Amino acid sequence: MPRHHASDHRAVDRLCAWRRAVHCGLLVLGLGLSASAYPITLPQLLRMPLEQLLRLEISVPGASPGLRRSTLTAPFEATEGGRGP
Amino acid sequence: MSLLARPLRWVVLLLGLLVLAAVARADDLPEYRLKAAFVYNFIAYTEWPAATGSTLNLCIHGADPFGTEIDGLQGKVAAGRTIAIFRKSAGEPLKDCNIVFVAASAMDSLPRTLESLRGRPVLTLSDSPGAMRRGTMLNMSIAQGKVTFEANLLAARSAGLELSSKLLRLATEVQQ
Repeated sequence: MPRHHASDHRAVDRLCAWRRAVHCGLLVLGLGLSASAYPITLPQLLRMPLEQLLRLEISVPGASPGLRRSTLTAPFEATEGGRGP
Repeated sequence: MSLLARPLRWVVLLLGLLVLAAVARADDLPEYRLKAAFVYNFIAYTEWPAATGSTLNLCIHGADPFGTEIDGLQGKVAAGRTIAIFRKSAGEPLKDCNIVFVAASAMDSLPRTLESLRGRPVLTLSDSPGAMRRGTMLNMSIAQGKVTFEANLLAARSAGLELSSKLLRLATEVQQ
């Protein structure tokens, strides 16, 4: 095989490897960014075992979503299954 | 060899970014969202008397530190019963409550509150230092950024409630 053909092959191989890497990297970055956009929710916490809750760290100790004081409110309808001993 | 000749390095770098993103996500956990999840587990791992109805009224007594976080428990089922959330200002009667979370703002009147609940199967919860020794059944605190809890088995049994062995095993302290 002429030398310039072998060189072309290597160039094409590198280009293919690059494309695969870029595709893979973009996928990983997309997954990472989507994960960081959604903080852990209460429904997710409720599905965790107590042992796992004990290992979680809070963001800012003492932070509160806001004090609220109100009187008796009407209960909602029960709709979901739950946990028990 | 140049970086451009090593596409794999870029993938490793991006994987590192993914890990950083995951860490950032884990950091975004408000204290009272996590405590609301603990409250749910406390209810679930309590053995309620057979006479208890199908609804468990969870009353926040005093200034509510949970904000909207606790509302996520509304309508959830724990221990085979549906949770309903109520907010009671300090001094309001607690006669319809099955679970009472005594907020820090209501701790001054804790003896009076516990006296009003005496003899009834009402699970008392708190997150104030020393509250378990003062008579609440489960008291949460923060240690090294994590929520821990202590249990007052004596108070629970006096009220006709049984805390599960799992709760007692995971508590940092159990008063018997």
